[in-house]
Amino acid sequence: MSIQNTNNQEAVLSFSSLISSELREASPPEPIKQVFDPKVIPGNPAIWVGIFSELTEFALFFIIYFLARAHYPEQFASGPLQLHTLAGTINTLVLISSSYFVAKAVFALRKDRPNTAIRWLWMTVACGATYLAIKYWEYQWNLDRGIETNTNNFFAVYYYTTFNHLLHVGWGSGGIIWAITQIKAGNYTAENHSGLIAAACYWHMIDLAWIVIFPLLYVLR
Amino acid sequence: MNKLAKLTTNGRHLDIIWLFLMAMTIVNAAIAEQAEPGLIVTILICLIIVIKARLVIDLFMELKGASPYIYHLMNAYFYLFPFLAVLVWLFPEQLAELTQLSR
Repeated sequence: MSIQNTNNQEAVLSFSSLISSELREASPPEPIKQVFDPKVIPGNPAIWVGIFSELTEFALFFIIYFLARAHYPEQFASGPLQLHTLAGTINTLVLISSSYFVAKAVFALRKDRPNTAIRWLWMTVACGATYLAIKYWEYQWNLDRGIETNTNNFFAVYYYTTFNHLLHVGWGSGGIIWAITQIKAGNYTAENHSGLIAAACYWHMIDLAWIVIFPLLYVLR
Repeated sequence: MNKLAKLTTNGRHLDIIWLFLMAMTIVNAAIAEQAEPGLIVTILICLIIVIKARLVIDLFMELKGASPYIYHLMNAYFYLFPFLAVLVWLFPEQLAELTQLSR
């Protein structure tokens, strides 16, 4: 019994010393590992929930467009002819350029050139502002010709879709400005810039939506 | 290093894609102004939508190397709606009849 007690005591002592040494050598907690691979999910999963939500919203607009077009073919045949096609074309060129500028910004930051990235991103913001200005001008031009939201079904769809898209351009511009502040603060670097990728993907989604909207409203008759 | 690899390494591929997208947009606008509406013109316009969307998705968003779910969902979306546009051009009366609320 005494031998067993001694063995038990030795075991307890050994265990205690083991715990103590472990505590002494305890390392700081490990940083939280990402549960997703940023190469596989560009940006982060949350932005993709947002992107697919917005694309679903635009999908509903497109479905409404198709249904209205089927029911009111004359309005949808004559409607595009009354729109300012040049304004729509310039806006398409502006948005495509803005997507290009965002892609160049990501490329520059990846190459560890943050100032270059910031310059490209400011050009993206400038494109967003240009788009909004042209859209405002176009709406005024429409109003001068008596084209309003309740003129007919084509223009109801036109205003609903384009105004909604305009709002997204505004929100996306805010996201790009946020990315600029984060690069300036040193939070987005060549090694870690998933936030910039997220903002860039959202911006590309806005461009992609307009790539569908422009032909549907301004071109197809 | 071959020519394509060199272009992607120094980012010149983005410049080329941008110029191509701008050119396709101008073609789209020219069609809007000049061409008489018809099935061929509608299909051409929808093809341009698909090509532009694919270029943005593959090369600007770089989704080709990303999750296949995201990549294929995005592509499917921008194949589906141009296809629906062609279908609506071909069968407007049938669609109107199917979606008539009151008979």
